Amino acid sequence: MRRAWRVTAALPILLLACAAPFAAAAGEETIALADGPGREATVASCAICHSLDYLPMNAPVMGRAAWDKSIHKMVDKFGAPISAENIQVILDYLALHYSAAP
Amino acid sequence: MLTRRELLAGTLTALLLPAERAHAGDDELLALPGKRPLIKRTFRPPNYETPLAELRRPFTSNDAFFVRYHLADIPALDPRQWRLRVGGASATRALELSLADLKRHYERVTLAAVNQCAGNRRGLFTPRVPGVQWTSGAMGNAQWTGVRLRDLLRAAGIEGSALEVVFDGADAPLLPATPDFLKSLPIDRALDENTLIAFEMNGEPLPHWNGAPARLVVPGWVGTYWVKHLTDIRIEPKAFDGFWMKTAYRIPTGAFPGFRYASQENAETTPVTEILVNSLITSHEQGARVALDRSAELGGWAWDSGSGIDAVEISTDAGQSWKVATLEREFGRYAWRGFRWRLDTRTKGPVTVLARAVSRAGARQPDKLTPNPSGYHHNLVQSVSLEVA
Repeated sequence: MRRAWRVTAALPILLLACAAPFAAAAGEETIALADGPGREATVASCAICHSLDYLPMNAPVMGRAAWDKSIHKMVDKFGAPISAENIQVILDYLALHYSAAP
Repeated sequence: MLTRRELLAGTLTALLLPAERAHAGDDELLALPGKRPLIKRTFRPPNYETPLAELRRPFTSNDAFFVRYHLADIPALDPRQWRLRVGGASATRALELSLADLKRHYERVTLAAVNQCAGNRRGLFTPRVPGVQWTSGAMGNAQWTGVRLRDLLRAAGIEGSALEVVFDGADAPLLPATPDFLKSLPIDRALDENTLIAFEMNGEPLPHWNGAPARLVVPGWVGTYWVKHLTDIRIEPKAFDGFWMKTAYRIPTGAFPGFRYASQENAETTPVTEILVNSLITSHEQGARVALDRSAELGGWAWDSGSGIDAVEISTDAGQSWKVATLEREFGRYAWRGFRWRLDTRTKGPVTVLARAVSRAGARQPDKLTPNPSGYHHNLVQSVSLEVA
């Protein structure tokens, strides 16, 4: 179900996303992603819509190409507001830290 | 600026306390409000799997039943305010029904059925595939009570042009550009007497996390069609082209048995529809010890898309020979059926037990998986290694 007010409701989500994921589920703040360049951009973008446990959960199956496909799915199909520059930053970060697949 | 709905959702999630945490191997057991500790796959949207120990009763407890969402805006609906709208381009008239209307004006039906996620056991695929890494607990068996969908559709009037029925629930995406979770059924399946709009589960009101106040129940079909928090039903003359039908929940065309959803099929892919014949040993965990010379029974459940279970076969010699397990009573053809097998505990050492179900339609669990990109339909013959000591 989608309602018209959701367009305005999304604004504070975007604004707050950089500081802390909006309406985070209790417990998800305990998820700590690996340190490294791109971590902040990854948290800020991915956690808008979902908890960050999706990243380590899928790491065993993922590699650079799979993450590239996944990020573009989030942008193209799910409407994630991620700039072209940040797509590269996030891809580099995930390819380095969350890629166990060959 | 928080809306009331978001405040409500926040209140619910805030009740999840760190004190309720426990660990079992690599799996994190966490309790959502109103639920027992379940295996947490993801926090948001919430995806929680039922541990094996909670799958031993004929009917899975409401507070142990698995939780699966695609979108993270999950409103807590007031059942008194809730309304169900029925209409669409192939409906003669539009209806708006309260929960009291459903209960008062339509025949009440109770039916036992397995609700199984299409991706149940995705985490067991080799090679592994992306997605929620479920093991065996994205499923459960329950008594569903509600009204027949077809009674509502007939009340709205079904025009000759009707092709599909489209369902929407109150759960919604956080971003306006994210596709909302809508599903469709072919008109014939919608008119099947066993397709229900359920407001009770195991004799209690539906739990919030399982679709309160009412959800669709499509016995024999995978859980993706069992739309939760149902708000809108539309009878339509065209194939519904939403993301969750056209792009997601699809398998290679012709790769699997099961109902073919013609209006949604193309040359490459087709929607995952019916559950494939399957079984699960619940009596023993992988690697369990069994006491030497003590009587021990292996047991579990077998199910399919509704033909019913004809037999469960057991092998303890790597599949060279198979013997038939004892079947327990049937709670209905859409429910799972219990099986029991007396273990030979006279010899010390490891023993590997294989179990495979055979449906009344003649389908048997395979010893080889059919790979598919989304990891659906995992119904490989199960193997459990035990140690007699």
